[in-house]
Amino acid sequence: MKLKPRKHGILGAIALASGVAIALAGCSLEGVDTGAAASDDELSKVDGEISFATLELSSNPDLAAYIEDTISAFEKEYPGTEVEWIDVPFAGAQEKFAADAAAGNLPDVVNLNPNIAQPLEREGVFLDIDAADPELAAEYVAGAWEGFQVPGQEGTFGVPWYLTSEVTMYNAALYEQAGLDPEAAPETFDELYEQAAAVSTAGAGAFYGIHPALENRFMTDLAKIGVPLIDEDLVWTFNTPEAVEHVERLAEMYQTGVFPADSLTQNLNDAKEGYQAGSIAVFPSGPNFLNGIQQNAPQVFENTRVAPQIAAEGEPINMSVMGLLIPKTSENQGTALAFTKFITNAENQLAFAKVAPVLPSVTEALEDPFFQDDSDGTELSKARKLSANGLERAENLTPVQYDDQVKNAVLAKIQLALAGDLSAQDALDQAVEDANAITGGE
Amino acid sequence: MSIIDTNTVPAEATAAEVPTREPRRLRKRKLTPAGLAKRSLHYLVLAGVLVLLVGPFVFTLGTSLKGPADSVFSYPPYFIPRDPTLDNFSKVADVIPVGQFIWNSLIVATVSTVTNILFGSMAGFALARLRFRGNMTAYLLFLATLVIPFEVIFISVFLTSKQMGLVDTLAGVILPTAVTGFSILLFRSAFLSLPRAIDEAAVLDGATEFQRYWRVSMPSVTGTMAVVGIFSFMFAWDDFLWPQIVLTSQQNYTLTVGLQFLAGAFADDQKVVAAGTMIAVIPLIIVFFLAQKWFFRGAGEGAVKG
Amino acid sequence: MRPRRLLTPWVLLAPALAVALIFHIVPFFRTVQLSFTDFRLASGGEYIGLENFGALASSDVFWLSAGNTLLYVIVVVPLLVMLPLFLAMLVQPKIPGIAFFRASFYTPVIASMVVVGLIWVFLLREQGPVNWLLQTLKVVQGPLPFLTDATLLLLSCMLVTVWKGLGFYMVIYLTALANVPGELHEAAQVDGAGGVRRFWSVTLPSVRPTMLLVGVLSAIAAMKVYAEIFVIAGETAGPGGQVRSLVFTIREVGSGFDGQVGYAAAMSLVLFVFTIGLTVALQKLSRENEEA
Repeated sequence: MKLKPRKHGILGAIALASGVAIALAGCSLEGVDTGAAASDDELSKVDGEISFATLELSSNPDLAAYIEDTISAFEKEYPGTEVEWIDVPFAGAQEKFAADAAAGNLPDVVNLNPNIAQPLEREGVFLDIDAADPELAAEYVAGAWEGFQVPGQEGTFGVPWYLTSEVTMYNAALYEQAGLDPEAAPETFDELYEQAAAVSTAGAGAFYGIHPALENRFMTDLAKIGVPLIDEDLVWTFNTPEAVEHVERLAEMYQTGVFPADSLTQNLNDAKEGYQAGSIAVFPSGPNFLNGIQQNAPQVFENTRVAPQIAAEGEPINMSVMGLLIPKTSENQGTALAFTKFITNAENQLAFAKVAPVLPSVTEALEDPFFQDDSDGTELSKARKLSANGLERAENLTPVQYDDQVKNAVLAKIQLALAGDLSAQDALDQAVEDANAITGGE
Repeated sequence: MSIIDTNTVPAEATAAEVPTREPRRLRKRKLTPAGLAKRSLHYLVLAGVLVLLVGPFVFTLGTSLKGPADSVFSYPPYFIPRDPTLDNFSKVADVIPVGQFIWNSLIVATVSTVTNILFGSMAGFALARLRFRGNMTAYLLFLATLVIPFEVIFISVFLTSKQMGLVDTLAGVILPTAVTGFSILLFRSAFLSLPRAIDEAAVLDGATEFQRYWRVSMPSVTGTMAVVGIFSFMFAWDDFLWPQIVLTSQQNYTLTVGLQFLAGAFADDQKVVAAGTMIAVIPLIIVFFLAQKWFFRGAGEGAVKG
Repeated sequence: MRPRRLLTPWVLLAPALAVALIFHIVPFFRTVQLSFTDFRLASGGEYIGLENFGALASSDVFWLSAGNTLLYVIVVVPLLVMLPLFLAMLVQPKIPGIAFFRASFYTPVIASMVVVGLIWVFLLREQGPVNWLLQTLKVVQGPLPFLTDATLLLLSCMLVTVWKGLGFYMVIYLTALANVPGELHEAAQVDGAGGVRRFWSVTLPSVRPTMLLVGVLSAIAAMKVYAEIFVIAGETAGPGGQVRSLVFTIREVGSGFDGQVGYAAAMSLVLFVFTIGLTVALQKLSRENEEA
């Protein structure tokens, strides 16, 4: 049959008219719904129902039981309250919360990391905890508390919850094969890179010393050698001579085969898999990774040793922070705040740390002897002790402005430097320029 | 590639196979030597393609059956577990309420299959077989729905769903894909390729458009119904991003959303993840197996029977 | 025409139209609106006229994305129109065990992209089986950098797209092949036509409308390519981001609370126009073929 296109059919007119009308009338160009902070009276009222969203915690049955028990304990302590727990998978979580934020529909207490939360904090979506409860700050690890602040703004917009800080994990068997002392872990970057080169030479393509995992480590490694990443005016500044030297070194290692050839475009996951496959000798990671190695690669687990995280002399080491935030669109900010304080208190965080290998963000819990007890001789206890002891010089080294878009723009240039298509200086200059173009720094 | 090669046999062989072609529809028949050779070659090619295509499936199946002493990421990788176990499947059930999630997914996928076949065929029939003003506009409109990347519009879709009270309901999961441009296009194409004679006879008999659609045309496109059914079931079953956005309480999660909980920062057992993937894939294979018989009940047969 | 008959098409179209309008077209108009703004999710935005489109026109990243996407369509669509047809012909005969092969050939379609990525990355790595085979057969001297060289990465992604799409379009072709009257084949055979000639003179003309459909569907899918690139080339889309597609860039620019939604919307609009143009061109092309 012959169909003649009719550009102005009845249908087209209806579609156009209704579409334009609904779209333009219904949707303004305002940003997210920010709500309003509750009054002191409202904040002191603890009653009624709240929703509590976490990021991917229910994957561990013990942890899920811990959360449920803590919720029951809260409901018992504050009769009349009810907490509905929602666990959100990490994949797609940003999209989900974006849609929620646009609709003013965020859960009453929401679990985010500082990087994801930053843009919403900046727009005033979350309750200022410093204003709501001025005494709270003193109880938490300072570096973690600062993770929920916005440059140039008063206030703290979230409460740190659990922390992780990496340790250096390495495969003693591969060290031995390379003729290295399996008990002498690398303590400086120089040692790390020298040993990595030795392992890769011995591996001759079968195994390698280290995977660069640029996506995970590039920025934090720069901070650990003392490169200033971003200044007070939020201008990226990491193209210093030290950074150039670092990138040149990475490029040299990549080109001489210290890193696997395919590592250029790979990420943390590939590094993880490589370590579990026994084809990567050193892998810096949070202690929680040990469980995964044990399940996926029992042999590699046997050979795994842990050592302190590496940073240059006098420079901080890295930790990751997870926090709880209360949107001002919440109609029950009092209960939300009470619950946030309850689940992050010393007692409950200590219980958390005993279920999963994380560190608490309250200093009182950290002083518990549990974190110093490695008498069972397992690498897990050793790792817990090492990461707990490192906490005093640990900072959240990833700038909160380093979101996925900035990260990809930076790494794209660094990849070119590693491949030898761009000089280290040019790569860093261009990376800084692109990063500033994205975040609005000059 | 292959079928042509198998068919480019010398002239004598082609001549020799003619008699074997004749009784083709008789189920049991003796193969001539040439036919046998051809058949063997056919299986050989099938086996070759099989090796090229089933890799991920075998890999996942193997991983899901690996026991505690097996390594998942060893190099070179191995598929056959040395310490085989079914424990990983029960571990999936320990971590997530897998029965509840499967039930939700089944509802979503089944309803979506029915609505796609019904509404998709209605629209497809109108576009292919009826003359009316706006036909081409409607066609382009449905085509357009295929083109818009979902990532770009999901926030508006969510706001609309919220206004309609669909947040955290399975209806909210189903409705945006209750009838896709894809289903409509497949049906339109199927109805277009039906011989016009069928229709014209019905028109002469005084059949209404609805009768022509339901009694005459639908029975002739059962093959397309099967295809749309499979695809709709698969899309609905596999969809991850939208269900996660629109559903807010765990008891409503569909399987693909729920399976995400099998791995996370505090649990990274790839064997359990593989077991979960198998649980998600097996229903799709069953649906495919059941539906594939219908692929061939296409226009010709349907028309004769109907 | 009586009013009842005039209404019938609309009654049949009503459910589909309702869904399309509410869940696709209206949000699409929102996208159109946003494309004229500097909207960000967290902070909102203001109308800035055609600025986004101007910025696109002078953006290297945009043109790189558009070029890669076009290349993707040009390579992938012909393969996805032809190969699944052969595959369908291969599994069409009702011979013992064929149902097993049909279902197996469909498994890549339902395999998760993550697993597919895992396997292909393994196959294509420097010391992987593909490089081993190529070197053993002396096709190449040293290993090919499938996963680190921009051009090879793009080809690797295309390979995965084609591989994963085979079973999907095979299913569409299977119903079409069932519609080819068997008498036509038999008549051709009696005339002494060989396999190749029967393919050209009988099969191909009968499935031409389906080929157009598959062409349109695979072209639309190729225009929206994202997952393969993400999984094979990594989150930067290859070294220096050289393997990016339009949707990859749209997602990168527009996602997150701080994403430049307005700019991403403008890019989506361009993608939309490109795709509609491509579909119309494909239809024209096939109509001319038919008439010729």
